[in-house]
Amino acid sequence: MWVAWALPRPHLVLGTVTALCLASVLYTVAELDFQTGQLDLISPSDPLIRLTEKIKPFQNKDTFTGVIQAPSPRRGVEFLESLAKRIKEDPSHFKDAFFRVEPELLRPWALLYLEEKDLNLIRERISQYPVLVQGLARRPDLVNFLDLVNSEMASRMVQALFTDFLKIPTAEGSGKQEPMDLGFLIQTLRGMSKYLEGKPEYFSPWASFFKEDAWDRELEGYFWVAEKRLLLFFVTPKREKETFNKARASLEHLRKLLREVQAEFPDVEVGVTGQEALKTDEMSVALMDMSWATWISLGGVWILNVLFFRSHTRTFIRMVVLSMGMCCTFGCLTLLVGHLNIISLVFAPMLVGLGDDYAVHWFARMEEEERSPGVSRQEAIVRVAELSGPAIMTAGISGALSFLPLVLTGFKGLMELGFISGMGILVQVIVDLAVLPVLSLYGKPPKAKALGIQGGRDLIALNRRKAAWVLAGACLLSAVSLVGAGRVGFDLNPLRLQAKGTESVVWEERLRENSKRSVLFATSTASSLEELKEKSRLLESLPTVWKVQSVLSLLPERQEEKIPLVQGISGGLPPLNWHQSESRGPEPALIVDLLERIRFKMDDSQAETWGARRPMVEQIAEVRSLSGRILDLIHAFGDSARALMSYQERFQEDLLDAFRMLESGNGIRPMALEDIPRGLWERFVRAGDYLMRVFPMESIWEPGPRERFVAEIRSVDPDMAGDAVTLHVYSKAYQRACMEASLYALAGIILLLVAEFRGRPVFLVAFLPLVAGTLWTLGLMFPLGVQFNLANSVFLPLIVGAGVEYGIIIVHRWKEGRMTPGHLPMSTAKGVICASLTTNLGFGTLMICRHQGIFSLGVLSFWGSMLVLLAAVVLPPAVMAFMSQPGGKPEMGM
Amino acid sequence: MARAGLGTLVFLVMIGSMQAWGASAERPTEKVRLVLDRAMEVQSDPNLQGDGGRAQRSKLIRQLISENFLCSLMARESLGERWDGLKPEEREEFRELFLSLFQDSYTRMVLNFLRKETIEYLGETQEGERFKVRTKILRANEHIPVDYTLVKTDKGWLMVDVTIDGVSILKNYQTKFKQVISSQSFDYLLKQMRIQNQASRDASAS
Repeated sequence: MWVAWALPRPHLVLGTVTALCLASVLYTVAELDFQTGQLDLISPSDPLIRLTEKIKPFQNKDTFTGVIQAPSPRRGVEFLESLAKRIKEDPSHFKDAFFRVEPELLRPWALLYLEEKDLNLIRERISQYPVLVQGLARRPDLVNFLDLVNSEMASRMVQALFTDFLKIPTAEGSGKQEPMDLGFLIQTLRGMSKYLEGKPEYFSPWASFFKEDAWDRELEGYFWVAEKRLLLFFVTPKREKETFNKARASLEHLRKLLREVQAEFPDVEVGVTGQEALKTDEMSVALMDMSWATWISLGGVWILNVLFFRSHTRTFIRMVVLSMGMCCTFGCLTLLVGHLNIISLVFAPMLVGLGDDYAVHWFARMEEEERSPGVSRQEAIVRVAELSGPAIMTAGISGALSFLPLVLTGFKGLMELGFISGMGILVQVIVDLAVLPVLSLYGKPPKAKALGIQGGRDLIALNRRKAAWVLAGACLLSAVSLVGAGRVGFDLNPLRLQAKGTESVVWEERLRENSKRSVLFATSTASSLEELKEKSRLLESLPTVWKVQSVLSLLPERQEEKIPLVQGISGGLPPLNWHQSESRGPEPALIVDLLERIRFKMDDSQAETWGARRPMVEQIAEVRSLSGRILDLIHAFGDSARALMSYQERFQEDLLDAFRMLESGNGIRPMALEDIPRGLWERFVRAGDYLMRVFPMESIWEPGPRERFVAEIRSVDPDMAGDAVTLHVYSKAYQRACMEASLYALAGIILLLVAEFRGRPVFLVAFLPLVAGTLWTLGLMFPLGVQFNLANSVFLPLIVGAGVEYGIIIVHRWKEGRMTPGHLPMSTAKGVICASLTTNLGFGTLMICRHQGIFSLGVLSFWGSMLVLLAAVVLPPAVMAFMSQPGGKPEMGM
Repeated sequence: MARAGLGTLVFLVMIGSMQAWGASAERPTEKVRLVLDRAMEVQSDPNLQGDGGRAQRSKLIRQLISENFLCSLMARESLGERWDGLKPEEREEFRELFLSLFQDSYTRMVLNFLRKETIEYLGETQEGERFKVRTKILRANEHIPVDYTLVKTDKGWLMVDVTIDGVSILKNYQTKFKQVISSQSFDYLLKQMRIQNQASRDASAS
């Protein structure tokens, strides 16, 4: 009826649909929103959404974590300083950055931040070098320092020569004297050398003297992990509005700055990770790959269509119709849903593209009807609409029904995907049936060629014997596949979905390898300090928890135990006689004298003869080399006094600082919460809520440890949220939802087929290719080494949606009563194969994706769809070989 | 490190321990110069180079030390007041062990580290009955002061202490022995000296 009305009014029909499409596009551009978070995908009623809202003020900061791996801590700091300057100069890309806690703010309690063993070591060092320490306290200047070091060396040398055999047993060991560590002298000489070279750079000797970098003010306050092998910094990106990948520009710019700085520091490695970086990298790679895949797919579909139908015009028409369907679908989704999420963005266009299949079936049948003798173009169109229209409509409704049940899963991401895809397919079918009759008027008709129905070419022609063999083979293949399918598992590690070599993944893994710190952790809050203390205590006692970071963890641990140690250190320290410090510059002649005397003792060529260990020999060689260099510089330049004066000023400042730190134990009190600097405090306390970050002991990217971790921390605090909990909830819900979605899709299709074929057993024939093809695909996964993951779990509903139509089209053709049992007419087969191949091309191009999740989805859906196609063209004719033709006779021949 | 640089130092110290070379009328500086020259002469003798000549050089240098150091006085002073409380046989054993260990240390160090050195003589000062001769060993971009303390005996000037870059060998003995005796006992000190002496002899024999 529609066809009869539309054919005389092609312009009206096309104009109306085009206007509708334009309106849809404009409306979509203006109103469509994007939702990017994992929480946007789970059930809106999940309590995690409410809990996450509570911690949101804390979560939006520091979402990029920079990791610097430098040959030395000092080099790492130099790199960071250079980078920090660039970042601070660029507020257009970065909202905030956190590089360092100002050391002065924590200085009064600096010793309490050291571990007890380090405090004991400090006490030991002071007692090992009493002459040096007391001498420096009496006269804190460079000449005296070198003099004291030289005396210490001479004294130790004489002892080693004449009385080394005398061992006084001690509680700690053999009583043998430790060799003198020259590290602190090397640092001093290195600094002197730099000042004399005119490139002043200071190296604190005290970090080496006390074997503890906390003494080096240059290294204080930074975020070190893995024993200062890695240096972290945190950047809050400026997020762009109205884009799907909101932090992409910020991340790209940060990496550009990193590369710029790295050019000046070629020995430093650096990368960006953190939840936002991981997400942004994933999105960037996925979107770029999907974009390429789409263009390749479109080109491939065009070529396939031209190969099958030998008509550019009709291929173009199908593309136009598909575009019209897509436009209308987007208009509807903007009106009814209002946004796309990460799942619907990636999958919906692909699924809506399935709508192209209906146009393929239309033109396949059109070709057959046009070739009938004496049939005009209009008559052919009417015949196609009458004969194939119902089948296309049923196939469309079936496709829609395979997706619409996803709404029942309760998983918002899949609910929206199901709704959008189902609605999209229905819209596409409606647009196809509305526009295709009109558009079929255009283009050259095929050459007239009489084809009798029974005498037409068949793709498949099976007698009962051959059909039996085919069915037996299919049964055997299905049995083998069943065994293989049993071995396929789930891989719920989201890092393995990312493209190989993704920077944020590489650095997250490096961070995990070198320390227990991960960018993935759980978060919660406490409403009072007492609650915070209690929860922290309970959480830290859990075996799956590495540590709890909160405002409490900013305070030094075990302060009560450390205070006596610190007081012991301070009590044993002589007072620093600052008035005795040399205000004039050191006399170069005195420095020369002392360095020559030190150098005389540093005979590295003989050191090993006397049993010095390798590190000591290296230190001796370094002292010899540095002192030689300094002597050359002093001899070569007339104005060395100024450089030495300048160095001495820095040296004395550092010395004073070291003494003040050591003396800080006198009258020290435990650090209290009120002493925490404001900038740090605000990162952990807001509006009366105290933040807790709970770090896992094991890598919780793996599902097993993640499940244990989340279960344990929830046993202490059921309100736990944060990325770790979100990932846990999301992955479990998604896994469950995908399985439910598959079952719902299958159930929906069965119901539809039962209704369509009025409960007659022939519906099983339409259903058979889907079941067999899916089973064979599952069997193939094991040898292909593919497991279900968070990306490809949706494959089954996809296959159901894509594959159900093949059986329906073939069984409908059978119902027309014009198919010989065991045969499959070429025109029907052609439509099915072309429709399938165009769909498969879309799936197959996903295999070019670097994103491993989408790649695996491509592998699964491609092979799945191909096997469903194989089953569709082979199994129904084989079964029908045992059936009688419709028309009053019993349908099942067996 | 101490061991490493030690060799070089010991050599200088060693230089002072060479043969009693001059007559009693000599000044302490001349005595030190003669001993040092003799020590360097032994070390640089072309006929005594290499491993083959090592035993002969060792013998000559040990003899220099024996003849130019007043080891009995050094032994006594190294124990300080404790010496007075020792039995004669304890004193004798201690003296013998001290002499052996001291000479052994010097000999070994000189053999390994003595070179043909430039030595600057900076003068002498009298401190009671003792004279201190100040010297400086000079090398390119490095030097070290070494002071020799001598006393006048019937056999002429003999060395009783050497101070290397401000560190007196005798004071080092005094400090260390005092520590061992106060924390352990004199017997423990003797035991340690015996063990070391035996180890040195075993090493020489092998």
